[in-house]
Amino acid sequence: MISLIRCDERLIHGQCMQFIVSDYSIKRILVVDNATAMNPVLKTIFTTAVPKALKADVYTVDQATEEIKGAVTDSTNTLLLMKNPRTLVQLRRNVSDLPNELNIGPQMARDGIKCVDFATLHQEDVEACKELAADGVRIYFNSIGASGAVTEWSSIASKL
Amino acid sequence: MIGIAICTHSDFAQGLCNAVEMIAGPQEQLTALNFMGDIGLEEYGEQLKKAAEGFSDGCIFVTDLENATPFNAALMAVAYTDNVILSGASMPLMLELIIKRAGEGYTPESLAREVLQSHCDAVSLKTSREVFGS
Repeated sequence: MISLIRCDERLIHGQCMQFIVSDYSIKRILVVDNATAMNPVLKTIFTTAVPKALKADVYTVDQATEEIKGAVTDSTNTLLLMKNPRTLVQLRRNVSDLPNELNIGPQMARDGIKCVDFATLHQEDVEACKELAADGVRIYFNSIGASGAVTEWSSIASKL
Repeated sequence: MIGIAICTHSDFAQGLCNAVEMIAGPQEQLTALNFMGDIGLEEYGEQLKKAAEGFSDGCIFVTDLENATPFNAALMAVAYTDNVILSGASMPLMLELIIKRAGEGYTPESLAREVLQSHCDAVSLKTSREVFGS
């Protein structure tokens, strides 16, 4: 099952590992990012730099479709992780039964639109969020899991 | 001399560098690269790679936290080189690195392995009861 869909510009890193994985009892991480999946060094870093009890794989958007379809129906708690909301828009075109929730973590677009302290979004990602919200997705900002503050997209969207 | 590049979240790297130089004096082949969260992993990794290339005899990256972004960026920079990463940046770790790297015959890996072993003994707990009695 997909336990959490999250956008984090830094993908797998300390905060994500320590808090989110434990809060959601994550057993598998599916990373979807074209640039990372096609860079052998980055791909190795993200597939190996996880605790041993955890499995992480990195896919392009196209490669990810079948993996995600499997994860939606199986019983393994899965974190679906990508860099930005645009990727989720793409994925939802290929996979119809994804959970209607998106957690946005650290985003650091230069010259972007500041939504909360840890998330400054590219204009394209703001548009992607609007599209997702219109499609019934609950979007919320949360940096480090259950111990951190939650800001709903719906509470700030009108100001963007 | 083996170079040391400290790479951490926020300006801990520069602060640690300053503290080391307060005790050990000005250092060559020592650099601090703060990760401030305003650039991505790849760009920071490129900065680390450049820093290592500026050292003549290899580099030890000292990071604050294993598997965090500064660490992941350091992994990018060490890929297919003889440079290594030590995690758990601290004063005892840094000072031992600084003192030992003056010796001959170390590679980044052999120096880091030696420091790693003794570093575990440098973390200690003291209570008032033990020191001053009850």
